[in-house]
Amino acid sequence: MARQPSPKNYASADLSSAITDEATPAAEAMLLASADAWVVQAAITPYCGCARMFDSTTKVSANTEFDRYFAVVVAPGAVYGRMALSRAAIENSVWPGGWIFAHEAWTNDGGTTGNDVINLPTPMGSTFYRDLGYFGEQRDIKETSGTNDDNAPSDNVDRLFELQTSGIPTVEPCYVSKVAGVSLAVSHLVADLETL
Amino acid sequence: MTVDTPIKVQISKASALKLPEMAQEPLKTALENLNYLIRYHRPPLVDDCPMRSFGLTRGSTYVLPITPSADGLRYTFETRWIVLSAATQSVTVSVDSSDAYAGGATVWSNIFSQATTSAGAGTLTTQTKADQIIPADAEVLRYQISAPASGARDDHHFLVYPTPAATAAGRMAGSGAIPFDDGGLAHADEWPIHTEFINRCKVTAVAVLIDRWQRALSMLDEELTAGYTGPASDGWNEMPPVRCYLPFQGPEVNLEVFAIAQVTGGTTAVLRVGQVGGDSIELAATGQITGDTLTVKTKGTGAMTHADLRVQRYRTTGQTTYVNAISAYYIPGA
Repeated sequence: MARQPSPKNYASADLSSAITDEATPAAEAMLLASADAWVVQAAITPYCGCARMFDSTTKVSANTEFDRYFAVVVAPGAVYGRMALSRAAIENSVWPGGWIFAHEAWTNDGGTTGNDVINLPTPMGSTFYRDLGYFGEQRDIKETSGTNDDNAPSDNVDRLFELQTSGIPTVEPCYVSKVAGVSLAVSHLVADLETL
Repeated sequence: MTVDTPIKVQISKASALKLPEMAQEPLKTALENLNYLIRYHRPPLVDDCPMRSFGLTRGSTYVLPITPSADGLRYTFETRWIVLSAATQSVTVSVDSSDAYAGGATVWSNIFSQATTSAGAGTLTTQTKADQIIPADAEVLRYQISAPASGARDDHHFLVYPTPAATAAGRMAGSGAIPFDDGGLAHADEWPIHTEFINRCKVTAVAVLIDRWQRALSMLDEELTAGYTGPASDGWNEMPPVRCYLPFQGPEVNLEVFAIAQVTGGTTAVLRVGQVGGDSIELAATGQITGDTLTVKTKGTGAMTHADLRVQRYRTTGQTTYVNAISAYYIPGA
């Protein structure tokens, strides 16, 4: 029988009361399961996905200014992740000399070259870091695919990002291009914690 | 008495929890997992991409507010940069901390200083400096990154996460976490299942969770008047929103928000940090660390639960607003 992960919602949990206030409680299944669960849940509940703000949208002199290399610390039990890309652009109607651009992104575990690199075209205008209120400015937050789990893609299409699956936290190097911010959610956990 | 720290989280079989035997297990496994958690719970303390840090032919300095563990833990620092135009250039990263940020008058204590030779022109360099202690009372870190001898440098990412030493037997830590030694459970007389053993699983798990704040929002630019001014017009300017994932949490979550910003003149009430379509807080640009609590209403479900965050900054006519750093932390249960 598989032991499925059950991450905990600490926002609705009572963190201060004791599991039991009996002096010498019997080793009941409920008590033991509760004691075990508090620790395992603390270990495998994914960490907060940090929202990083930055400008990798504005090219001043080199295309490398569109690049952003970063890393994510991933809690145990992760399998796949999704990125949220903050996009900022000037509409092509305002700046017709611009180009329709595409984001590229990868995680190290999924592969950093060829078809392993996710390519995410956008219908937005020319990428540029702008404050709200500028004429022709547009922006949004785009989440990458939540369904395509192809670990050996034949094309660099949008798909789930592979993460290291481990019983300890791991550091996952990542890359994204032409964005004004990025965060990564651990979207899929192992089906059976006993496999860790 | 032995303190065993598992090298990975131990998972008791579901059947062992439903039909426990008259034995040490499965409680011993749960208690040993506390030692695991104390050592391996590693949410990032720092997770910052400098705002716009490309083509730098000079050194640069960043300061960022932090709230480290009350236990004075060791942390591992990973710093990522690229040297663009010349191969094998040495870059030195120095990191200091202070318990009282006072702008240019801050008294700093060095944590480490390490030079690393870049991997080659245009190739990402990742410097890892493991197991450096951040004092429990530190409220700010300073990164100083040297210029390469030749060519330019792009700063990409600063990551800091806890990597405590192996758990040792002893009294309760400042965080409230209590490690487990097997002296009781392994005793020849088989001590009775004790209330404290049961409750310690929750008390210590919660103590570790609450002690290691998790980075929820980051915005970082250089210090003092080298900070971010943006393509701002007078009045309020809103920067592109970002998504903070708060997996499985809600419906409301409190984020502890800190900022360092300054103005050349005019009002100092220049920073708003808030949720898109929700509440916001205002922080003053005094040149000091300012902070407040932001309550967000989470959206989405399960692992994809999130809050979209936005930052607005104000510029008084004829003046300049500099944003040096904004950081927000999530504390489980807050």
